[in-house]
Amino acid sequence: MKAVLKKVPDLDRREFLAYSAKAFLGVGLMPLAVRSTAFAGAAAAKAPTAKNVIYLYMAGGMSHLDTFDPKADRSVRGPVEAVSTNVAGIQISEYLPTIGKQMDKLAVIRSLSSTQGAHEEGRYFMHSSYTKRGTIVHPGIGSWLSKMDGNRNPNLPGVVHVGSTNPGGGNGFFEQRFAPLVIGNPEAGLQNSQIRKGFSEEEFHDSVMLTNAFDAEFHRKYNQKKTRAYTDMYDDAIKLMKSRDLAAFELEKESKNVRDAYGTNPFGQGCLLARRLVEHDVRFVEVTLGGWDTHTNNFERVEENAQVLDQALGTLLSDLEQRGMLEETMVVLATEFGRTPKINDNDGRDHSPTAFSCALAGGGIRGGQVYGETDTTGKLVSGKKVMVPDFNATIAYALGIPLEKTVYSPSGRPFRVADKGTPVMGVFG
Amino acid sequence: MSAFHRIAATIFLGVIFSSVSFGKAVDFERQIQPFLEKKCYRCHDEEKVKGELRLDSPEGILAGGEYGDILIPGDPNESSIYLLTTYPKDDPDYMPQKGKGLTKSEQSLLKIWIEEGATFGEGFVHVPEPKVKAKFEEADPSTERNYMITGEAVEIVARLRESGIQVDTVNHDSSLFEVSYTYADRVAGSFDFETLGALKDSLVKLTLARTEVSSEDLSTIAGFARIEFLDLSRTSVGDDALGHVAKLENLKYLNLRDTSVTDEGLKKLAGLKQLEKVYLWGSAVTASGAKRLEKSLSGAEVNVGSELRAPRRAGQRNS
Repeated sequence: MKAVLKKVPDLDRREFLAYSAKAFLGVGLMPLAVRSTAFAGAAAAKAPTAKNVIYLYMAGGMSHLDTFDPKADRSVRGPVEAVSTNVAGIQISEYLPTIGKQMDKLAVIRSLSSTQGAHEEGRYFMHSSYTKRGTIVHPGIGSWLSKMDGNRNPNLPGVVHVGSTNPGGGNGFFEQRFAPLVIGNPEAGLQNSQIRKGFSEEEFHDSVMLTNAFDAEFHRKYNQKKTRAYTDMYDDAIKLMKSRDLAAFELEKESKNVRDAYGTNPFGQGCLLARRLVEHDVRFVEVTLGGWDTHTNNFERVEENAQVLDQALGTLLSDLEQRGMLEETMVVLATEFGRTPKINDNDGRDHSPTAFSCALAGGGIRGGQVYGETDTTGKLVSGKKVMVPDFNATIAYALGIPLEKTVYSPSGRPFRVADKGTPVMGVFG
Repeated sequence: MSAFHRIAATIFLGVIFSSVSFGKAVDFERQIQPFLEKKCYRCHDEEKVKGELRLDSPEGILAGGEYGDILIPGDPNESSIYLLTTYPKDDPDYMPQKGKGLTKSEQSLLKIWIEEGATFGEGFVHVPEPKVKAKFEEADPSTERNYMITGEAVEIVARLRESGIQVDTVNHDSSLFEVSYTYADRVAGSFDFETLGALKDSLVKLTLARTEVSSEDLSTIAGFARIEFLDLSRTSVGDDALGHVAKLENLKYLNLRDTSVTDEGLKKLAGLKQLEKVYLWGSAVTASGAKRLEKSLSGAEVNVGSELRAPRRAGQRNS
């Protein structure tokens, strides 16, 4: 609070309102009338409308310098050109031409900053807002959403991860039912989700009943959260097998044109799968694109990766837009850290967590803007620093998850969705 | 072994294990209590009781604090009395918050004491007070948003949810509601929106996507004059439904994608001057039909979409 007051004199009105909003974020327990006015005043811009998230994770540390934050200085920039976008005054890398045509939908944050410089730790921090510790596993933001706000679709899991066997955020200390469903290969769809061939519906029913009969005594005796979670899992699986929503996983229902538009690679198809899942009211879908750890041969490798990202994200944004889904779907582009301005002897760039870029679109985001800036080299943030928990607080705020709500781990320790992060109000409305 | 050897061995072990006694159980009164007194009592005794926790008696330690138990005999890593002292000093949860922290050897004594079962000596008999209610509970594991719903709305919402209708408050405004019928399993003709009557003045978003809703069902929709967001996508509604929709004078967002509406039906919306966005992808509406509506509604975006295409790129590789 003290820090907020100190900053006030330097702020313009809009920012002051944003700060008031932060100060008022603890209003969850205030009476109705007060709460509404507090937000009416704070939200000079429109209140965000996000319900679902498509979270694109660039594993390995996406070079901000060669994508969303190109620098004028040739020794930093290397061979990459900065090019204009469809928003006057905003330039991004030539590697992202399709995304450049959608800049009016994107808010690029150039002033992200992390305290974690190693992949595993950085990814963990990015997903959970907490640093990694030996004694507890923190839930990822998708599991928070599922826990705090429920599933929309009763037949499908609330959180799905595509394309990574080691996603950054799981259910942590939350119950198993808030865990993400992990799909390795989007084109293979959901494995083992049909009744086995030659096994009739009736036989299947009988075998489930038999299992239940065997288990009944055990469940009566050990009626605990963990045993219940186990049966919940069976029930959920059966519900899913019989659901019409299973079709959400079937990419072959899409035309060849659409599939090609997203890119005939796992990430592109993963983004298409994400769109299909969100259409079926899955609330949080994460799709991972690896290969950004460019210690060697940075420019060639970034270009290759950027091409996959550019096509998939560019197509995803147009597709969501024309289906009317951007109103309620927030697209997040995130990574664990950026890369050094110094180009090393192997023509690579090393880890640089002090400044990097992420981007947001949809769900109430005001597109066509760049928030924050880095110094002339891109090594340090020079304005409007956004720490990792602040970034997650922004996503949580957009979704309407109460930031001040404390949830206790089984050992009784208090945790919040974005730790002590405060949302970046400037990206909304 | 000579006396000299014994002394030397004791000194040697003393150096290695510090004050940890070897082979003998840690004694609470003699080895634990003294440093608790020095480092913890200033905040956790009968005068201060920070965090509703007292550490100045075995009863206090066993009773736990604001956040529940602090000692799980046998499991130091679940016992916050030990765990929090091992955090980095700049961690907000580190204990003690004031004064000097526990030394490495004090930490390890505490750890071993807990591992050994955390007993308070032979003379101590613990008579636990009957616990009325645990100090904390898991957050409500229900599958719907409940934290913004207050007052008389609680009952109304519960009743609607029972019938399969999803009801939520709008993000950041607990006085406004949104409703979805997508998973309510209704057949055409049985949507009776009258049951939403109690939300008449607060319903701003209505989702009927992927339902069997019919034009007839929509005939009562005009009663919900505050609706700003209406999703009819992926339903079989056609032009006649738009006659009802046209009565929603506050409507800003209308999703009609994958429906059977046509250019002709779209004309009925020409009077909705406040409309901001209309989505028609997959409907029978043509680009010129959309243009016409856009013209009669100044400032609205009427989106018919276009076939997605792979972006063209010089020297593109096929992966």
